[in-house]
Order: sequence, then C-alpha cells, then structure tokens
Amino acid sequence: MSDRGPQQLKKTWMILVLMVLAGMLLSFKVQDPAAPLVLTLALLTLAVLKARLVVLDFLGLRSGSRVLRVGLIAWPLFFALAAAAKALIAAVSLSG
Amino acid sequence: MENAMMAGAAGEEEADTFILWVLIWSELAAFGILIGAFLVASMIAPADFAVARLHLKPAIAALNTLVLLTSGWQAAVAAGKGASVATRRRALVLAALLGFAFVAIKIYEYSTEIRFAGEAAFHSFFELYFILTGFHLVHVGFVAVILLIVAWRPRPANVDLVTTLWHVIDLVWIVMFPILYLV
Repeated sequence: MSDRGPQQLKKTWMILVLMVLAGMLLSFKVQDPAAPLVLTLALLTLAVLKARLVVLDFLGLRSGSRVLRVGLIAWPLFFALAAAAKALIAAVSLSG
Repeated sequence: MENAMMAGAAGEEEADTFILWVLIWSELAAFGILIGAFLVASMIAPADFAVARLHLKPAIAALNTLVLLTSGWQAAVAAGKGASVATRRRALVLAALLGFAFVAIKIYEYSTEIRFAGEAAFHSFFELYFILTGFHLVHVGFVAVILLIVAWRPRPANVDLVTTLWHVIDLVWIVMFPILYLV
C-alpha cells in the first residue's frame, strides 16, 4: 500500500513521464550502431531510476519492509548491470 | 470472542500477503531467467540480434511504457491510505482500462513485427522476444481483469494485493524495454 498522498503520487508519475520522454530521446541515438556506450549506460540508468520510483512510491516501500525494498530494487539493477556488461563487451570487441 | 475473530482476520491477511510475495518472487525469477536467456543469446549472435532489433518499434514500446506507468499511478491512488470507496473504484477501473490499452497497443505492434519472425537469421531473437513479451502481455491482460473484478467491491485488503502485483508487472516491463529494444 502506498503511503504517499494523491499529490505526491501525481508528482512521482510526472517524474516518471519525464524519464520516459528522456529515454525516448536517448533511444533514437542508441539505435545508431555508432552510438557511444555512455548513451546505452544512461538509458539503463534511467530504467533503474524508474524502477526505484515505482518500488518506493507506487508500491509504498519507502517506509515499508527493508528486505523487500532492497530486493525489488536489486532485481532491475542486476539486469541493468548485466545489459551494461554485454554492451561493454560488444563495444570492446568492435574496437578490437 | 471479538478479539479472537480480529486476530484470525489479521492472521489471514498476513498469510495472503505472504503468498502474494511468494508468487511475486516466483514471477520475477521466471522473467529473470527469460531476460537472462535473451542477454546470453544476444551475446552469442550479436549481429543477427542487432539487425532483428531494427524491425522492432521502440517508439510504440515507449508509448506503452507511458500507458503502463499511468496505469500504475492510478493503481497507487486506489491503494492510497484513506482513499474513499468511490476513489478506489474509479482509480482501479482507470488502471484496468489502461492495462487493456497496453494489450491493444502491443497486439498492434506484434502485427507490424510478425512478418520478420520467419526469417532464419532472426529466429532466435524473435522466439525469445515473443516468449518474453507474450508472457508479460498475458500477465497484463489477466491482472487487468482482476483489477476490474476488485473494483466492483474494492475491499482495502484486495486492492492492496492486486495493485502490488500490478506494480511488479510494471517493474518487469521497465527492465525488459531497454534490454529487448535498445541495448
């Protein structure tokens, strides 16, 4: 259950929308094979930040169970790191 | 007697919450295995995956992200402390309708991509893509129906359970989107 009020939830939603729009702008650049790795990392960072906001504010875990909060933020972080590692390996093998 | 009944109800609610989190972590494990398989397969055949990915529509997927996050917002409003029955009901119906909008948009997106799935070089990519997004899509459709059922009689405990599941489905999409479409 979210412990945030309707106005706070609206604010969180607006921040999430801005993040999605920022991600859309980045995604046009990332689709270019010559796009720098930093754009890919920025896109994955945005995904983790979005997931974090959903966990803390929408799921209401900002003040709830610490184990669930850490676990649910660790899940997207793990896959973002795995995807970043994959992108890094691809960039290194391309330059090599 | 009254105390015993209240303790019984609280215990039942605690058991429901425990089962919910067991379900949620088993779902996250299943999605995690599929996302991991996609990442490994994309490392084995990077060129094929890069070309196959060009046939996807990230702009449509980004639109769907907005739809799902807006639905998640409404679900959070429905589960908010002190929300009236009318607020809960309205927010749950809106969340469900946005869930159905997600399904409709995704089916449209599939219709633009399906013709590339038969090409031999893209077989592995599209197989994993359709399994992952299809599995997620079934969850969205199913839980959207549950949201509507709960909206009919929005008991706070049921609203909490169904909206928690809804946010986790949202979370899975947030992670899947950049990995499948962009990175």
